Formats: sequence, structure tokens, C-alpha cells
Amino acid sequence: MSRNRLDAPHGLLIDRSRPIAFTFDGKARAGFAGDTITSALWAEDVKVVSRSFKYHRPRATLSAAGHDANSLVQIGDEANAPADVRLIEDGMAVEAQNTFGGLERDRAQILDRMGRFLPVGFYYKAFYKPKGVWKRWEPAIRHLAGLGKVNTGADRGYFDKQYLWADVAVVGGGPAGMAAALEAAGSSDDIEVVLIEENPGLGGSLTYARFDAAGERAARERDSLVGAVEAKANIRALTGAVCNGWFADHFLPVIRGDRMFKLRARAVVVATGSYEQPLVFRNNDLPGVMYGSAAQRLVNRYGVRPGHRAVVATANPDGYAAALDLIGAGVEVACVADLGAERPRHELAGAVADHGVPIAVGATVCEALAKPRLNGVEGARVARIVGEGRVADRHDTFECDTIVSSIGWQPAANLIWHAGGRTPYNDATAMFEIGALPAGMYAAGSVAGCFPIDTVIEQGRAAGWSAARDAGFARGVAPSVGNDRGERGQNHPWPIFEHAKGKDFVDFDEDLQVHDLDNAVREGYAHIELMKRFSTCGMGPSQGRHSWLNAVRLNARANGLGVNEAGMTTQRPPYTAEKIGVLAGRGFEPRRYTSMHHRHEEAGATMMLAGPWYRPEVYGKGSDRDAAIHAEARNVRENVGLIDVSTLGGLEVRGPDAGEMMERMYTWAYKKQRVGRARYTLMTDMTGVITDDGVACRFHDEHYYVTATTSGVDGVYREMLFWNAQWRLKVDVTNVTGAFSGVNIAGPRSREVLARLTDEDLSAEGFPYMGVRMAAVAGVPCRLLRVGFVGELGYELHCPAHSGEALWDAIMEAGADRGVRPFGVECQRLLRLEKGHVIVSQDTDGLTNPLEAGMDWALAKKRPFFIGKRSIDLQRDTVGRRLVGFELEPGAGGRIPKECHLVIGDGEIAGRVTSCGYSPTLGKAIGLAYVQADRAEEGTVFQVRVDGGGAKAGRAAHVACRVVPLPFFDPENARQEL
Amino acid sequence: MPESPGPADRVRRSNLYRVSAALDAVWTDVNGFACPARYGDAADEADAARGLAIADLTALPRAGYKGWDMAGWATAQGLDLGEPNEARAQADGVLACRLAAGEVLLLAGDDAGSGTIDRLAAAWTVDGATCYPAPRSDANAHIGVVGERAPETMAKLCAIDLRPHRFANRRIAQTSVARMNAIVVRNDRGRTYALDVLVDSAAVVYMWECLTDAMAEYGGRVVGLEALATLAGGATERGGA
Repeated sequence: MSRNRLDAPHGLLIDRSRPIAFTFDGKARAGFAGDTITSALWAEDVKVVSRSFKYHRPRATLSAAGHDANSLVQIGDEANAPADVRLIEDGMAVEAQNTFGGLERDRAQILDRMGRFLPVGFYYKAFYKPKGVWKRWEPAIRHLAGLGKVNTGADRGYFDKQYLWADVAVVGGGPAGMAAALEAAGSSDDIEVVLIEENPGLGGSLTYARFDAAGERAARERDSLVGAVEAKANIRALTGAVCNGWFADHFLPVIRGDRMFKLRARAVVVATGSYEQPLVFRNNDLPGVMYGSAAQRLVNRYGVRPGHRAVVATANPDGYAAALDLIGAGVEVACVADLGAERPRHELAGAVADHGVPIAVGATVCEALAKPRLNGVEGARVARIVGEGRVADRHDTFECDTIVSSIGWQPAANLIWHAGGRTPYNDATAMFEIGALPAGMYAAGSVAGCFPIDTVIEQGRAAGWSAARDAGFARGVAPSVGNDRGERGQNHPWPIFEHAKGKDFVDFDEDLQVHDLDNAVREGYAHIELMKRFSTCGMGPSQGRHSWLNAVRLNARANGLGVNEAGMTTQRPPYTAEKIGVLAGRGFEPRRYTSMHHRHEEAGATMMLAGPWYRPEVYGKGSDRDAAIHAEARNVRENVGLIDVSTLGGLEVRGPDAGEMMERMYTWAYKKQRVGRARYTLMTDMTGVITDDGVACRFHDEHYYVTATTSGVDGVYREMLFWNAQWRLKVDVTNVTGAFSGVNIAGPRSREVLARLTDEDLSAEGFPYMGVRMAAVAGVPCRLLRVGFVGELGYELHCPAHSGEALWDAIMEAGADRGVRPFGVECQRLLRLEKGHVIVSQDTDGLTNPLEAGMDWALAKKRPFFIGKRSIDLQRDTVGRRLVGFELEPGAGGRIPKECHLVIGDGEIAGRVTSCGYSPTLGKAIGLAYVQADRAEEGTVFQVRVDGGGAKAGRAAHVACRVVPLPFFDPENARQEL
Repeated sequence: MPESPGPADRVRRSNLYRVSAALDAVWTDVNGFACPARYGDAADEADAARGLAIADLTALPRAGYKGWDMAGWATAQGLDLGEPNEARAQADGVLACRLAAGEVLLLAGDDAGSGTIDRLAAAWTVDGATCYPAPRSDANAHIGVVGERAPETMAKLCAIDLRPHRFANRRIAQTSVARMNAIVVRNDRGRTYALDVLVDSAAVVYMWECLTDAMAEYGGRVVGLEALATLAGGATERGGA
């Protein structure tokens, strides 16, 4: 049996029938199911689990509740796991963190002796001069001061989220929380109550604390309350779950394992309990110094004896309760030092005295005596208190291996603070107490400053009743609450006993001592927010849970203020550490596939993302990309190609006012557009900036089918709905993007191939350029658009989306003997560049107006209004740049500009390239670029800075480009109008 | 249900047909599609669907009308319309889902009966129209999410409380599911909780993957049309291809 393992009934939470084997720092360890890492190790007399952040002092559990950084360990790839609360699992490999050469022989422990050279804020002063030296120091400091190791190459984990709803959410499954949940649940069978408890089981303090001398009350209340909760069908208990914050309208993120529940409640009861606070004295961080509640957790929850001989320092009944539990666990209690001025009269104190334990009233532990290498406690010095923070010179020394302190509590009011609730400091009780709470939020139990068990339960019931009422389930009258707060307050007003030799820790996470905080104030960081940031007090993993109360007291004293005047820093979510993976969740990344998607993959396409759409970039993979693009382009120019254009946006604009709507939304004229014809569309916003383009196909006097860009259609649709809500025209706009698949068959043989699949007259006369029809193609009802983006005879076919693959198959089969081949987006971009066609958002940006883009031909001059018209008119005489076509001048050395390469004029940035590529059709590189308006004349030569400036830093290569007229290819448009 | 040729032989194909084929679907002819009738034993699928299942119902007929006086026109055609975000079953089993004051979505039942849909399509003309057809048949894919654990599954994808006591039968939620726009209609099959989820047809493979992932925790499985018909209280007769 393990050295410190106690017999039943100690160990409420462990299952002795299920042994668990794990390792710590490579050594085999054993425990039971239900053991935490801390409890299992402590049972085997392994107390030290970490080294402190700054001084690398050995550390063991302080709270046994994960309220401090002492117990942080590494488990595989998981850094900073709290050993106090993480349950052991078979095969679990636990490692100590922040050591150099192992936990026992940490080479960095020498830093403990260098403390006087490392005063508060030393890194702000010592490593910043001379200028630039911080870069040299930073890696070393970070290396020394790290915690766990992150594996940046770890596989992506599986995390997810789930929504959850409740009428009443109760956070905290202790006596107050359970009472609240029961009261709320009892208001109606219809009410839904969610009870959130961070421990694996319900019970809270009832699983470890003692409320009576006989030690029976906790178990009795626990059995009663837990049994009642489990019997209530309308209470859902989420155990092992942490509510990590409060957000508006009672939105609560609740993390359990790798899942975050997003809980929306109508009312919230906060019954989160409180954090026990440390007694500050020299060497109060030694392994073996712990809170009374920690000792009770070890004994009662896990059946682990904290030590063999203990000294207890206390200022409230809890210390006496801890002493009784220690005695019950076979620990000899050498002395109880009561910090109070009078001997307490409660039964717990009497019971301790009955065991013959000496009680020193008005005294405190003022120093822990360390074992060699600081690996534990070998004694405690107890002295009489003679003033605030002062003790008599004379002291008694007790041999012991354990020092237990119970001198006060800090409400675990994080959720209340997140919600904007106030917790003013009460000088009489020396506690932060609950002040005003937001609507629909209630507090009960020790978080509300209530400790006697009867009052705790009554308060819980009252809070549950109020929350149920707020959720719409009022029943009867509110339960009454007694006023019993115990014989005296739980907190000692000044449990801080500074020692001349220091090591009197206020913040264990950051190794901050009393004089560190005093020095921070002396150096001018007097305000509580400044002191926090300069000293980093409360900024460690425990976020001030164990340090902030004493830190505020010290700050108030140093500034000559009251605690309320010193104030509190702002508390924000999260309440405790959370994994980024939990925040990210499963990661929903919508993907849209055209109905021909698999045909592209089967044809060996390299797919690319266009927004959420997958599109074939080029048919081919790897190094022959350019050759593949050029081959596709040649096939379109010389033969026939097929491209999937399903991602194009589609909008139906229908109604008696459809023409009016079109003329207001787009820059050109549409009322006179003939039915059966298509017309280019250009959309601008109210500042005249180009936002989208496409074509409008008029299928009926009251019906326009309007295409839009892949990425722009949702915005166009939104704009149309917005404006039509203002204008109230008799028109309906429907986004039908997903309803249609689309293909464009282009090339001199496109008519021949298409004619094999339809009875429609495809002749130049019967179906001229910019004509539109509805016709069956291969038995599929299609909208035929004789439009072309690539400058060849071509047809765009829009068909019902679920028939897209069949249509694709039919065309490919019909054109097989004519050499039809699919072409991708890159080929299309090249072909349209040869034609000088603009791609909105590639050749335009967020400031481009049609005048700059050379698209004033698409502006209706005589119409009084379209969106953006006035802004465009105002800019007619102030156009500063123009989009021009260019060719490379000889001497470029094969360096072809890329998109966004800069146009340089007189040594300054004068524009940028928007499109550029090598045209196999023309046998030269061509492009589009913005240049200064006075350099846009045909024949003007300008410089473009390109990649490849050579090794000498600061020099970039320039190539000369010459402005040429657009389009580059087939200026008469003879090919597309065949 | 009679078996029929596979989807690759059809002009109309659900974008999920490869997924269903990989699960060894047995096909049946529905509305010009090959629709998964079952993947194994239909009775087992029905049992499973009482717990949790998803089904590709894209083949089922559907239509939509949208416009400033949709309600006036549709009512004149005899359509029983509810309030916005309410669905009402018509005499032939077609569900009229009112999405807005001026928009309705018509969903055929699992037997693919489309009398109301066909009747309205025949009645509508562009001349003098006050509402217009919305191409729901191709704009949307249709997934059935069935079984008592469907609300928990959906809670992993959607912020709306779809639990049976909060989201009544025939209620509609137009919302975001797995970050995609979706129409969610509660449409119980017999006494079994069921949702009809309509999403962008181009995103149905993504949505299917999300649902499959979400339901794995609860033991959900993929079922065919026959299982839903069983839950609804009777097998359906349909001609083969």
C-alpha cells in the first residue's frame, strides 16, 4: 500500500477496486480510478511536481484544487495540465515542467539564490539598454521562464461545440448550487435547469469540508442533495464541466473535455464557491505548506494523508475543521495557531482542544523551516501577533512536515465580474462581498460570503426561486434566508507577515514576495492596474485566485488608501485556462462543388478555391502548368473548349418594374433592351466605385436573368434587396445562383458541336452574338446565352443544377471527335486578357471608378439616375489614373511582371499591374496596369519593378513596358461574332 | 419499392449520388432521379431512424413562389397557407412552408406526390404575375434528419433550439447550419421526430459530411426513403425506371 494512502471511508472519490498505472518523470506510479495526479503522487509520498516560474523553487500542491500554478504538469503534448484536478489514466505519461536537468536536480534552482539581483520588473530595466540588446536577451529569458512545452507539430485534435438551452443555469454543484437547482426545478415540471459542476461529481465542499465536530453533517447533506438532484428529471447535471465566462443575455460557454457547450439561459445562479487564500510568511511556498481545504481534499476525497505532523494556522472555523480531519487521518497536530484575538467558542475549536492539541491564540506561523534543497518542511515557527503584519521576536518552533493554513477566502466571483457585477470590500469582515448584480443573476453560498451550511442551503434555495421566477416560473413566495454568518468573519484582515529575509510569497505563480509589490508602488507603479502589470501579480496561470486579495491589501497600504479606494482590476473571461482548440471547435469551412466537380477531378484538374467554390484552375498537375494552360488556350482559339461557369452568380429580376430596377441598379440602359438579347451590366456603389459586372438577359418584358461575379453575387443580391426595400418597386429579386449549372463552350467549332445536341437555330443570323434563348440541349432545358468572355464564337448554357453533370457529359461526348477539351480558370483569364476584358476585383479595387477603368462606354449618359452616377459625374475631370494595356519592351530578359507589381514613375509609385501573362496566341507578354492619367497615351513607356533584382539588397529589377491599345487580340471582334 | 437503374444513367442527379453509391444504395425512381430507397435492410433502417438517421431526399419534388402578393395568388389557387415560418400539409401531402409573407416553399411528401406542386405550376403565368417561381428543385438539396436524437445532433451545427418541446411540428427555422444558410422544417414522420433540412445544392456534400460527423456520437446512420415511409406509417408505391 502507498505510504500515505488512508483506509476507507477516507477517499470518497476513488475506486480502490480499479488500480491505475501511470508514470511521472519516467517512473512508474500507481493510484486508483478517481485519483488526481496530485493525490496519486502524494499517496506515494511524491509531493514536488513542479518548479516555480522565476526562482525554480520546488513546488507542491497548495490548493489541491488547481487554483495555483504549483501543480501544472506536462502530459504528452498537453502543456500546463493541472495535476490537482486531472484524473490519472492508465498509461498516462506525466512530466514535470520548467526544469533543466529534471525536477530534483534542476540546474536553474541557482536562480533562487540570485533573487536580490532579480527585483520586480527587472526585465523592464536590465535588458533594454543599449538599444537593441533585448533581442539577444529575450530568447534566453523566455527559455528560462517557460512553463510547458508546446508541440507545434502536433496533429490537429478533434474539438467541437454544441448549443444548450436552459431556463435556469446554476453554476456550481456544491450545497448552494444543488439547493438552487432543486428549488428552481421544483417550480414547474416544465422548467429546464442545467447544473454545471467543474468536479467529476456533485457535492462541492460537501465532498471534503467538515461542518460539525462529529464530521457527519457533510455526508448527510451530500447524500440528501445529490440524491434529490439525480431524482429530478428536469435538472441536467453537467459534471466535469467549467463555465468559463458570462456573456450578454446569459450566454455561458461551458467546457467539458474537448467540447464547448454554448449555453443560453434565462437566468443564472452563481454558486461557484470561493478560493481559499494563503497565509503569507517566510517560506510559505515549501512543499507541505497548504490550505486547510487542500488537506481536507487529500484526506476526504482521495484518502491521502497530507503528512505526519502538522501545524495549523487559522482565523476561522475551517482551520479547526481541517485540524480535526488531519487528526482523523492520523496526522499529529502539533499546534493550532489562531490569528484571532480571542479563543473561538464554536464546537470545532472545542473538539480540537479535546484532542489535546495546544491552541495558541493571537499567534501565527511566521516562518517555515526548510528541508535541504527546499524539498519540504521540517518545522514551523509560531509567534504572537503584536500588530498588523508584525509578530513578536520570540517564537516557538514545532517540528512538522506539514503546515496548514485557513485564514480566509476570496469569492470565486469571476462570472459576476464578467457580467458587470460589483463586489465591494467589507472592512468589517475583510472580504469582498457581493454588491449589485445584473438582472437575472443571483449568487448563493460562499461566493456570496455565506459559509454556515444551513444558511448556504437557504441562500441557494432563495437564489433558485428568484432565478425560476425570472425565467417565468414563479411559484409561491421566496424562501427565507437566515442571517447566520458564523461566529466571526472567515477572513483575517491582515494575514501577511513580511520577513526580513523575504521568500514570503504573495503570488506563487510569479514568485512575487511582499517587498516586490511594495517596491512596485515605490517605483511609481502605484495604481492597482499599473502595479499589476509592472509586477505581473495576478497575471500568471491562476489569474490572481490566490494572490489578488493580499495584493490589493498591500497596494492599499502602500498608497495609504482603503481597499475599496485601491480598487480592483478588471476581470474578463475566461475564468480558467482553455484550449485554443476548444474555442475553435470543429471548424466549419463551407465548401461548394459544382455538379461537374467530379468530372474535373477525373480529368486531372488542379482545383482552386474561389470563395467557397472549388473551380478547375488548370487540367494537369505539377510543373507543366504553364504548358497545360497554353495548350488549353490554343485549343479554344483553334478548335473548341468547354469551361464550367456554374459558380457565376445568377439573379432573377422579375416584375412590371424590372426594367426600372435594372436601370437604377446598373450603369447602362435596359428598358429598351430587346427581349431575347443580353447586355453587359456594370454596377457601382454610391461613391461610383465598381462593385460588380455581368450580363442581363431579357427573357420577357418583365424578366431579366442577370449574371454576377462568383464572389460578388451575394453582395449584389443584398444591394438589390436593400434598395428595393427603399424604392418599393413592383419587382421581385431572387438569387438563383445555386439553381443553375453553367458551361461555356467556346471556339471556332463550338457551333458545330452544340448543333449536335439541340434543334435550336444556332446560325449567326438565327442566334446572333448577344442573343439569348431557352432551348433543350441534350434533353436538358437550358438558357442559352451567346456571349463570350474569351473572344471566340461561344455559347453559355445555364441548366438546372442537378442536370449539370449530364449536360457536361453530353457535350464532351458530342465534341469528342472534334477535339473538345475542358479548359480551366487560368486559361480563361489569359484568353480574356488577350481580349482586354476587365475582371472586377482583379483589375479593379475598392476605389476604382469606371472612368479609371476605361469603362465609360458602359455609362448611360442621358439617364438622370443610377446608383453612383452623381459621384462618377463629379469625378469626370479629376481622373488621376487609368487602366491601360501594355506590352513588354525588348530587354526584359524574360522577367514578366506579376499582379500587383508596381509601376514606377520618377522614382515614385505611379500605379500597379493588375493582370499580366504570356500570350501563346500573340507570342508575347501582355498585361493591364494602372498608370498616371498623363502617361496613359498609346506608346508611352513606363517602368515596372519586378522580382529578380539580384543579390544586392535594396535593388529591384525594372522592366520597360509600352502602352498599347486594347484589345490585344481580334480588335474587330470578328471571331466572337461569327 | 421497385429498384431502378443508378443515378449516372439519369439526366437529373443528386450531388450526393456518389456518397450513396459508396454506401451500396439500392435505387428507386423518384421524379426523374435515382433516389436511395435503402442501403441494407429497410426494417433495420426504420428502427435506426427512430433513434437517429439522415436521408438524401433531394429527389423529392419541390417548388417555390415568391413575390409581393404570393399569398393572394397561392390562396386563390387553393393553397392552405399558414403564417410565416409555419408549414401546413395540403390534402395530397405536399407541405406548404411559408418562408415569409411573400414566399412559400412546397415540399412533396416522402411518396413524392406532387399534385399541389404540379397544379400551381400549371396555373402560374408570367403575364400579370404577382409572384414568381423560385427554382427550389435545383437551388436546394434536401436532407431528412430523423429520430429522437436529431435535436442533439443539430445542436452541434445550429444555434436554434430544435428540441421537440421548443420547436413544434411544422415550425420553420431559416437559419445557419454549419455556417451555411438552411431552411429547417420540423416535419415528423408518424410519431418520429423529423426535420427537413434544405441547403444550397452545391454545398450538400459539405452539409452531409457535417451531419455525418455530428451524428456519429449518437450512433446515427444513413437510411433510404423506405425507412422514412415506414416511420410515416406506410410503404409507398412508385414506378420503376
